[in-house]
Amino acid sequence: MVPWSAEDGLDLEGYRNTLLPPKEIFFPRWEPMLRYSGWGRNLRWEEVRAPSAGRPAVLFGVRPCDARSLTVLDAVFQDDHPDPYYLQRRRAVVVVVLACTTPGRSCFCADVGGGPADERGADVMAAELEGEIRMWPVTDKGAQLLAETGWEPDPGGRELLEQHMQRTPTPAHGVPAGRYPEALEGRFEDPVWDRLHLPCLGCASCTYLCPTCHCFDVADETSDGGGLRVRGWDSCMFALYTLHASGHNPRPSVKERFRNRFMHKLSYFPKRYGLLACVGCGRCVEHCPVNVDVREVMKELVSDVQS
Amino acid sequence: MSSPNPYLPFPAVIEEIIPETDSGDVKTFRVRFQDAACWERFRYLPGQFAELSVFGAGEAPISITSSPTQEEILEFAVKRMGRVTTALHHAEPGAVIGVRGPYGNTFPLAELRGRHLVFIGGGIGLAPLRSLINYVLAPGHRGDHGDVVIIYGARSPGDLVFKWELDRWQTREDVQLYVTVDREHEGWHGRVGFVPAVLEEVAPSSRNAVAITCGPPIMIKFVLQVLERLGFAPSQIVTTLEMRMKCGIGKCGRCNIGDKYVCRDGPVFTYEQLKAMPAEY
Ligand SMILES: Cc1cc2nc3c(=O)[nH]c(=O)nc-3n(C[C@H](O)[C@H](O)[C@H](O)COP(=O)(O)OP(=O)(O)OC[C@H]3O[C@@H](n4cnc5c(N)ncnc54)[C@H](O)[C@@H]3O)c2cc1C
Ligand code: SF4
Ligand code: SF4
Ligand code: FES
Repeated sequence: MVPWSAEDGLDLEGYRNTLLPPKEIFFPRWEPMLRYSGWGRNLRWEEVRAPSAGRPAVLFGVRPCDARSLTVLDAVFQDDHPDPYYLQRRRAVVVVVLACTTPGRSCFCADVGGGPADERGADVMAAELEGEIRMWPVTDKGAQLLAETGWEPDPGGRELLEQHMQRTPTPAHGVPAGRYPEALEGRFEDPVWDRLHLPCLGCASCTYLCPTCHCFDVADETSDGGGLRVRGWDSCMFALYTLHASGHNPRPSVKERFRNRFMHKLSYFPKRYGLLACVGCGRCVEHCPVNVDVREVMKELVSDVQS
Repeated sequence: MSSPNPYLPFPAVIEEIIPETDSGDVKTFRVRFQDAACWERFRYLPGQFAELSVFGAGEAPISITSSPTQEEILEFAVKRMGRVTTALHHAEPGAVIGVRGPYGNTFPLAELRGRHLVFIGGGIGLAPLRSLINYVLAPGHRGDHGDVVIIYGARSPGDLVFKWELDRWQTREDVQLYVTVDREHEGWHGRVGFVPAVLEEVAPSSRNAVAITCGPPIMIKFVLQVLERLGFAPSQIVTTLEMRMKCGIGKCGRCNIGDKYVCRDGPVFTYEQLKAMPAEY
């Protein structure tokens, strides 16, 4: 995701998806939350926002899988205690989703209940069809953007896209979607984890690149006479993540952490929020240094259940 | 910025610091909100916890050990462990700290009505129990329950917390209190023995009773075995769990055990619930 101005022009040739998911627009890698100053009796603190928070913006070219990841993040950040930092950014940004008229090789959105023309999470839907960008609104916010920018809503676009999709291979790898979280019921103690985790280095690349991963750490960064309470991305793949002050660690080795990551995406999250926390973007598949493949993990767990 | 920010702690003043253990590793902090209006937004029940902020060091989840039936003051018993808890231990009366919450579920107050209650605590594990004990002993509530049995132990007499409170409970006729230490100590004339052994000896009846236990994992392990021998069903046993936490409100993802978040679905669980969860705590 980069800032864009009209002079830059737009060349979508060969564009598959961004390396980093759009989550950082709403949930930055590093974000100040509070500012404090003084000491002892004279300690003071107040809420702060990063300069970028709440700045209106349009995200163009978000892929349908990533747009759907926003619905996963929304579920967490809108929950009982709404998160004002995330929600302020979410309100200010309009998401223009670009349908995947040619899906990428690691994509498997269709396996996990999505699809290359999925409109969930989109404010405006766009598609490059017959050499032209067609756009139509999905939400009121999207309709407003189109009206303000003078774009004629293009009701025929959706139908044209549907026709196009019928001629395009579906991004699926045979991982049955409807089986989660049921497929993982009782699999916590399964010996399969003893084998599956072996290649994993615990580097956490997968979680940083994942559009739905949202774990964070909170820390106080003190400088002269005051400081900031900030939050930053964290990862369940790290040992320190769950380490108690006593030295006890409920997830002491890569095996438990690896299992937690997949169980969270495919079982715990769906149980809690009714949504699968994998949208099939394929980033972790492409970028894992040792080729851990979430699709293979899913197939393993599901096929085992069938046998 | 009109919506309340759940990460913004209320300012509270430390009014009093009570050293609990001889080594000084546990202190009780009595704190009062700077703005009395905060009480309205901080209605808590026994079992819940708060995130305490020492700015510059960070935040830590700490059980509320006071009872909502007492005057408008919050009490936290804190063991010195790492950054935040050490910074708290260095604070002096008058210092301002941040308090946000209350978070988590509560002890199952409705299910405790009409029952005999058996409290079993070890070390600083008495802190969350104390909130409930004082709640059920409060004038309006004592009649809601049958017998109140309290079994509490620590490694040595110097490691017992809330000695002033134990003395108060001791004087009540409607409380059976058993205090024990692991080994003989000079000047100690009370019981000697591990908490599970004392529990076995006291042998409270499981009929129409609920056992509520909190303490070090090793104590819990043996207490559960004894309770099962005494006929307590898993649904009659209540305990509290700890996991590392940051947000306290189900966002940061850190405190999960399976699909449960300890900060939201806990920290209070029955043994029955615990058995259905992955053993990853
Ligand atoms: C629901 C709940 C109730 C608790 N009640 C009490 C209590 O009444 N009295 C008491 O002394 N202690 C209690 N604890 C444990 C206490 O929270 C930790 O000892 C404390 O967080 C350690 O923080 P630290 O900064 O001193 O240690 P560090 O090791 O420096 O920890 C850094 C950070 O890690 C996190 N962390 C580390 N260990 C734990 C842990 N065991 N649990 C949760 N977060 C952790 C905190 O966010 C902390 O700020 C409770 C924990 C939980 C989850
Ligand atoms: S990217 Fe691969 S090696 Fe790194 S933590 Fe994820 S699964 Fe393990
Ligand atoms: S788990 Fe992998 S494929 Fe699924 S959403 Fe996250 S990064 Fe994409
Ligand atoms: S402490 Fe953040 S999710 Fe429980």
